[in-house]
Amino acid sequence: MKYDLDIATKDRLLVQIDEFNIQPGSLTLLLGESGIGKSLISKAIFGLLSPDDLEIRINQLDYEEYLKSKVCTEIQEKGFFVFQEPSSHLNPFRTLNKQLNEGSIKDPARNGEILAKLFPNFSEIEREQFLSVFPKPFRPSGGEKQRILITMAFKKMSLLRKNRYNESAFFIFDEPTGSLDNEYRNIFLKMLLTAHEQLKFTALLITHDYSMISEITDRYVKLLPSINFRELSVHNDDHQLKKFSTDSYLSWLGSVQPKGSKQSRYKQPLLSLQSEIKVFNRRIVISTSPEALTPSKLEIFPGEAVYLKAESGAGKTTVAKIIMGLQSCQSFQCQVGDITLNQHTTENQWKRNIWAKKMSMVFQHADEALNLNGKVKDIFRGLPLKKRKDREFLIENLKIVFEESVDEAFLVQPVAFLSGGQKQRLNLIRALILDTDIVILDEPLNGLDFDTLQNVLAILQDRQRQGKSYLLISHNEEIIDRIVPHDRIYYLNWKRI
Amino acid sequence: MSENKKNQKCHFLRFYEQKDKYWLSIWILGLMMIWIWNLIYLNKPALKQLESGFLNTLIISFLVIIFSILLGWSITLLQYLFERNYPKIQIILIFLINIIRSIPQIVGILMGYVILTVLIQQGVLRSDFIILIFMALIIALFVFLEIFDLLRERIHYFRRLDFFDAMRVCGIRERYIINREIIWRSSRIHMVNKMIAIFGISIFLLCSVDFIISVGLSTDVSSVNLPVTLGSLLAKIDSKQDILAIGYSLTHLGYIIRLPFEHLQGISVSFIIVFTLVCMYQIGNGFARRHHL
Amino acid sequence: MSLLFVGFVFYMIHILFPPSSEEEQYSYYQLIHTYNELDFLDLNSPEDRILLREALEIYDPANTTRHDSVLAEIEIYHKNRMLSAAGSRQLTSAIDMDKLLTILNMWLKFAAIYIVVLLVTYYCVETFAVYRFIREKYRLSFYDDILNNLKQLFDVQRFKAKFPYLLNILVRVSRTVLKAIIILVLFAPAYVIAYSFKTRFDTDSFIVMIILGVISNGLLITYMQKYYTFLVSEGRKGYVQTAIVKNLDSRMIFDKKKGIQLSSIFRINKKFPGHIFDQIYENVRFQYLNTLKEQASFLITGLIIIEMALNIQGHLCYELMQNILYKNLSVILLILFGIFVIVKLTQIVIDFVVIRQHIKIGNISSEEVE
Repeated sequence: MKYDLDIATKDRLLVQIDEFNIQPGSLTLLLGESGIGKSLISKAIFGLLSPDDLEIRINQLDYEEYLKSKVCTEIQEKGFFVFQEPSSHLNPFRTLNKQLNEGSIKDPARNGEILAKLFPNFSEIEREQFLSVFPKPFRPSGGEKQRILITMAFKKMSLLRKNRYNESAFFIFDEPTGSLDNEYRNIFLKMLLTAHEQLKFTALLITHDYSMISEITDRYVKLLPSINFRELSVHNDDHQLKKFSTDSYLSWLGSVQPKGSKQSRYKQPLLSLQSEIKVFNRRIVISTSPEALTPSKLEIFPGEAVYLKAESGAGKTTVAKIIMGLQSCQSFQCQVGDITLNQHTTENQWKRNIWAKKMSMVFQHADEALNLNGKVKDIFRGLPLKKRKDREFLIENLKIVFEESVDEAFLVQPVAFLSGGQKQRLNLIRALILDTDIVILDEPLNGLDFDTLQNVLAILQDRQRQGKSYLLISHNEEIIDRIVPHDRIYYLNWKRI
Repeated sequence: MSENKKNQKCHFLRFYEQKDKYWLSIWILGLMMIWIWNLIYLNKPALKQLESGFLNTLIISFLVIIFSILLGWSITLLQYLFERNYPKIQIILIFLINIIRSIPQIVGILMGYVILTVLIQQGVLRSDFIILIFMALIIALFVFLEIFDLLRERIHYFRRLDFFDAMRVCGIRERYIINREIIWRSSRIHMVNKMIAIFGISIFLLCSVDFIISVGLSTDVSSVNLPVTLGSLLAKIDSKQDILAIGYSLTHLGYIIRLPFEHLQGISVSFIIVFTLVCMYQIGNGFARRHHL
Repeated sequence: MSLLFVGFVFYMIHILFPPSSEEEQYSYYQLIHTYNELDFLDLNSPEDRILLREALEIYDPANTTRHDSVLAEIEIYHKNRMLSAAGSRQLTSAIDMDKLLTILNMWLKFAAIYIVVLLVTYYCVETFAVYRFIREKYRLSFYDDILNNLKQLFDVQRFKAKFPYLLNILVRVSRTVLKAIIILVLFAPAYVIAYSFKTRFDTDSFIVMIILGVISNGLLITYMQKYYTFLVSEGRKGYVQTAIVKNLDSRMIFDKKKGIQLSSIFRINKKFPGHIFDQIYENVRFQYLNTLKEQASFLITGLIIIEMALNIQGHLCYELMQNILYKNLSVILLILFGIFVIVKLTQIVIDFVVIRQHIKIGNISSEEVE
């Protein structure tokens, strides 16, 4: 399947790629920086974009003609698209059950087996109750909604016949494991690869989760000939699809070591958080073991990286927000240097003593954390910096995270026009420039390509050597486990009060 | 097609697709054409009245925009301040705002005009310009809620995202985030869109109230001399006769030709009002579409 | 609570500013009596009143406004005298049972017109917006359509073959001109339309009031545009794309077998089974409810303007206007409160519907509701 795509708005070019080639009957893992156009390209191919909003040409055809073509019609009839954001891709006015049984996936008889695999902890009655709800923001969870979308895809797959020519059935999965824990991610991978082996459809799996590479190369060696690893990159507005070297990733992974000052443990901790936190009628317990056998204080010493692990939805980001005073709770106790913080600490105290002075935080979604209506040069406005924020200062600091040249054109570029990876780097530098002792990093590797990922980790480890500390929250366990010493990993568990 | 014609077509097509600019130019051209036509065919005293009425209406509407923004922005900040620090007072403020919201605008403005009349009668307000400002203030009191609701909704939207917290924990002050980042940088396009809508609403309300006062509240002697506006012009007996002629001409088609010559005052006034409302509507829609609001 | 609060405020105003004595009613009472005592002046005669005004302007040119007010009040004073001599109610009298019942009757009439106009406009707004949404998906814009036809016209040599394109251009231009006229009418303030046809029909009739309320003041167009905007933005949402990949019918054309049935758009309870538009419409219907409050408020403003501007006697807002003129504070407050009640009740009903829907889609159990 060969595609030559041009996608543009009225004002600018978004994607231009001469050869976006997908081998029929294969499973292609597509990696690359967030916001570079992977989802846009796949939606264009699947026929999901609107010709009213964008000017699109595929294989020399105008998009209206492409939508009517046999290729596109066949893709839509036989294939499926699993979207990235499960919350916005489910109708809030229809129950999950109704949405799971309409259109070409109407047959409810096919639900049972697929749901049993994706929701192994639910009994049949619990599953029925679960499917009778309407999809709201927090109930069901993001992971559960994502599994519902995956269920739809597998239902469509079950319509294909085994050992038949199914190469024209094109299944696209756009970040299907973004909200899933490793356990469910592995279940999904197993189901997908098993189905692919039997049915030989064409599949495109878009992901930032590099740990899938290890999972596939470790457990599915026999299937590797039918799996392609590709990376989408952009250079001077030209998009290219290159082969991604799994060997170079795995060898880099093997070489990554934790860094930090060995003397740090003998100093006073910069932060000391008591093991129990009560919030939203839950009791969150921090411990040094996954089974939560011994509750433990979370301590961060100078020049350390500490990793907070938990299953999806357990409350890692909530704990981070509580430590930063952004989330009220029923009880918690924390010591930051000589300052005691608890549930009674007022906002003024956080403002005066903690924010941008002792601690800062990098939020998960750069798209939400940055002002997309501003320009790159506005990013440091309002920050309480002692130095004058002139052009030289701006360029000097931006160069820390942007290896490519930072010129005048880049400074006046709207933040909205940057790629996801560039936004994430901007998000990071805004916190790092404050030079606080502790930085809480919530999913810092989100949306980064392999090269940038290495660069960002190098920056963080470099600052660690200078005595700065981090509290890391990330689902990239495979990578973070390598840069954080084993004894600096904490686990979260929760129980209802 | 030659290269020149293609380029011309592209320029025009580009201009045509920017519907807000297209309709703005139609509005200005339309008003100019009406003025030229009246210059030729309307008697001088009536033309002078028409010009004053139009200018006064325009001035009041622009003043309404300014007052609405000032009121809307300041009350939004006040409400935000109370919400963070004095929640009980905030409840009272929202309660009072909801009561203003529940009063039909025309009724509120009418009551305001009653107060204006008393002030003029007592000699407190003498200057025409001061009276214009007061009229604009009265209308703005019942229209500023559009800006207030917009800014409140924008602040709430950004507060729900990580945007707000991400800036706070970097030490950026809240008032900077609210005023600069949210209202100015992220919402000024929305505010301009609302300003266009407010301009249209204020013309509609002003003309309606002035018409009502001139028709309904006048007796043999007028109680107060308010500045002439399009609405009060329309309520004059001459204009009403002119409008009646429109209905007459629908059943006597030959009479249509005489309308733009013999019934010019009323036709011009009513046409300017309706034409302006339509153009403001199209400009607002075009602006919203161009900026993907 | 706001009903109680406003009611209380109005009642307090009524208590603090009771209906005044004859002396207090007329701020220029002394002056009125002074002028009344002038033998050579008959203040019942309009000519004498104009002569008095001119004389006052010569001797006191700085207070023109005051002179106008004095003369207005003289007229009211004499009218009241006449009415009281005839045994009729004075223009400036306070509320009694008869007056209360009359106002209640007017209020009910106003409320009835309001409810009918609200329902009709809601139906029209929804229907036109849905129709426009589907039509715009497959119809060329005016400019592209004309350009295409012009191109064909110049490309084709034979005259007979040119005719269809010429006809297309004429039809399109005529349709656009007709559309422009309709938009001008829909945007026209009610008094402009009503005065255009004043001699043709009775503006006091129930039907005419409803028609004016629906078609004038830009109400239909403004809210149809808002509803349409909701449809467009909802059509871009993620769940619509999920519905497309599930192969639900996404063809936006009017067709009985494929696409959307034209007749289903005009039903009151619109349903589009098996089509993605059914999901879009379902969501927008709910979202529009809050805008319906705004629409209701705008509609009431329009109805008030209609009754006041057209001087429709026996109607609530005309009565309000007359009582403002005669400074009957108690009647003014009563009518204002009545209008406020209508607005508030509308908001309460809409809020109730919204909350019920929230409870349903929020997975909130009945125990949690209690």
